[in-house]
Amino acid sequence: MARTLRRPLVASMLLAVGATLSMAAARAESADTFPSKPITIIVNFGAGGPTDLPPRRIAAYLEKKFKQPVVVENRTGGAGVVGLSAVARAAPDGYTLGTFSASPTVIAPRLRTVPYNARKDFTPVAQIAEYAMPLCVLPTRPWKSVADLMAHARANPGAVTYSTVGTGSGQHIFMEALAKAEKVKLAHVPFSGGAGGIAALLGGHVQGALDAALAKHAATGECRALASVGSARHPALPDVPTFKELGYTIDAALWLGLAGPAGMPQAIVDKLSAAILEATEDPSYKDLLKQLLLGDKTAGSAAFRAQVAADDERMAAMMNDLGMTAPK
Amino acid sequence: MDFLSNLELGFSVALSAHNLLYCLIGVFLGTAVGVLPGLGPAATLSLLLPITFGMPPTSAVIMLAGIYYGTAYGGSITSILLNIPGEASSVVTCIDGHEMARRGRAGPALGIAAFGSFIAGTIAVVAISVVGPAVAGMALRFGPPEYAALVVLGLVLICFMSEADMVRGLTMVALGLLLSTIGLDPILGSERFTFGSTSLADGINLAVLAMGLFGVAELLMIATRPPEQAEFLRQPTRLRALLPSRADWRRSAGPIGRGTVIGFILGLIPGGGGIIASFASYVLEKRLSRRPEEFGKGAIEGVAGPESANNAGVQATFLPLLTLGLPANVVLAIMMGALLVHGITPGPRLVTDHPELFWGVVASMYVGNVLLLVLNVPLIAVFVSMLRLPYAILAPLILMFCIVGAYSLNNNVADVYMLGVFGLLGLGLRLARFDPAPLVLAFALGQLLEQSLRQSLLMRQGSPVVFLERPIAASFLALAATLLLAAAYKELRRRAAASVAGAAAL
Repeated sequence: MARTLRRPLVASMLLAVGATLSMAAARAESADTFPSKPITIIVNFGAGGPTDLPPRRIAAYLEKKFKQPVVVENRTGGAGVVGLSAVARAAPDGYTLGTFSASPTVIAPRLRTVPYNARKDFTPVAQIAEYAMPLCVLPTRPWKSVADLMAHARANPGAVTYSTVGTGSGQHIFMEALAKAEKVKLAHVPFSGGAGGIAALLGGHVQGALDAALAKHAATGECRALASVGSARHPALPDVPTFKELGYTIDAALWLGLAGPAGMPQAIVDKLSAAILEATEDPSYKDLLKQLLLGDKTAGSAAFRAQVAADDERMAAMMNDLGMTAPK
Repeated sequence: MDFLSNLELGFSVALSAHNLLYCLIGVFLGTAVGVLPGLGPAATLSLLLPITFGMPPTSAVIMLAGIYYGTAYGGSITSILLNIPGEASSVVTCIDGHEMARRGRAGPALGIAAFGSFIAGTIAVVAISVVGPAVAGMALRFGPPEYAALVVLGLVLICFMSEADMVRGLTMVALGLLLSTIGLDPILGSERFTFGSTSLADGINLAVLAMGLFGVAELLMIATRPPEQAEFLRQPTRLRALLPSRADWRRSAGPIGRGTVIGFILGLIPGGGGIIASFASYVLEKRLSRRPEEFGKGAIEGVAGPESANNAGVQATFLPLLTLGLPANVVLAIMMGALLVHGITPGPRLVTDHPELFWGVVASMYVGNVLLLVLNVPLIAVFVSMLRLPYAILAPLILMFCIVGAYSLNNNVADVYMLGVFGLLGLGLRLARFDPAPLVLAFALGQLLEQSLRQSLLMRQGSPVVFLERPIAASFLALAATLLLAAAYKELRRRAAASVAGAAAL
């Protein structure tokens, strides 16, 4: 009695496991006239953030233009590596694109093993935005400029602490390069994710912080932006100089773009690239970038690919110089 | 006066027909998501996020907020009836809630969880609207040293919680702390114990760990037990069976009040919120109780306190988000995304720039709490009837929800495999009579402890003085030390008494 009752239970549970796993493994396949079926955009960070919302807006535009569903799928993990691995493994037919930014592509592979090669395994399709990050201090501190802060750091070695979203982040590399250029020692206090590091600055627990989301706090006067990292002045902080204007020549890879797997047919790349750039010209898209505190810088496939290649080499040199390499 | 006119504005927004409807949809979905193990608020919100793009921003936040605090209500139902936490924050409710249900008191356990949540939720909303921005500033005073000290205090409290068998409890705490070191080193970014796997680089997901150790392990237990003992607990079908008795109320009033205060305060701290609040409340009630021996055997205080704390904590997390733009956890980060889409930046200017949004959302939370009580008390029977299916059908369904839930966290199959591993581990622990609850809590606190401890030392160039020169951190540590000394003193006296008694017996 007991035995006969138990067996269907175990069997049905096994069945449930099997059914769910096979559903997860099901995948789409290729086509000829593009696009003749739904396109997937894999976002490698969580829903709702500055990496997620611009591609979502573009997806909505493409959906209208191509009359095909464009699905945005958040595949998070490994600081962006998990989502990009899925893009690298997808069929190069134009039906799978993914968000493409510097930290999992030209930075992470130098710090740990990733299951792809940023230059060989992807086809950059278009740049859709540029990250912009201000370096901030509390308004109650005496430092009014980057030079003030650096002078303080020089006089008190190791006493100036700064927070970022994490070790090996673009922010961290930039600050270390700044310290090296100024020949000072800054103490890095990494936080995992943005909010912790911002709270640490606003609460006065660290002296400085470099973070994209700080721009809104700087705009309301809660913190003082000394300079911003970006190719142009920050859209929300028009009075704050860029590091370039101040004479620093520190490279930072700030692009956010879309890329597909390597080996995509050129005709499909061109078609997608043109449509995406069209989407970025939409005034509502430009408004969105402003809201998200992102820089309005876009590029087509060829220019974006060249930028990625150049930044890959620059980052390699820069990180080597800073001694930031994977422990062997 | 200003406060009243603000609230009036808020209610005029929240009580408009369409916002009322969105609030209802939100809390209903939230309860359903809370009942279904595995499917959490973060997954639900990210699935629904695109729908909110076409909605007015206030309605969007009202609905998303409803889902979030609705799950805090719903999570208790499966904890009590099935010993499977619907949400990680309902883990503690399993301990006494399920025990009450096994003793035929499922009705009052469900009832007190709903009423406690209602009372705590309402008080928390009143507190938000009264003290609002002033309290939010306090949260900023919590830097890394304060977090580290708070976690140390928390770990000392867990050891207290498992005092019945301290060695087993400490073993679980140690295992939890060890598991929390898997993944990227929080300071150096190097990989630890990942064996080259990208999926392990992020560490083990807390939700997967909790679902495996509690949920899957429970299902496996049911599958191994002879069926006559494995029957799902009988559920109350009548409304009256859900009402706690007068004696229940007398025992629950204090825990609900204290749970509300603890939950509210911990909810204000970024990174805090429901899980820590519910554990803290449980430990406190067990300490204060005149009947500590009843805890773990179906004490109603062990349901009333943590459920209230969880709810107050969930509601309080809105304060740092809306006034400082600081999301305390991933769910609030998604909500922030919904606001950003509409061009609204959460932050200090939100209250002045968009009063209709701030006060509308606050007022909708008053409304939502009433809706949840009205929904939950009569509808518990409906939600419960989902669980009245024969378990040969129900168990695989729950397992499927756990699997879907684990997969939907990151859309990563590796999380499903880990769910299976922790299910087996949980079965093993259970058969060996180890309680997995301290393991899960130590795991959750372990990452925060390591990160904030090392950040604190970095802030002060490696000097531990950083903990002593900051009053909040120092007082947490002093409290932890006092508790440890008190326990040691008690233990020594007990041993002395035992040896005196032993000597006398000779």
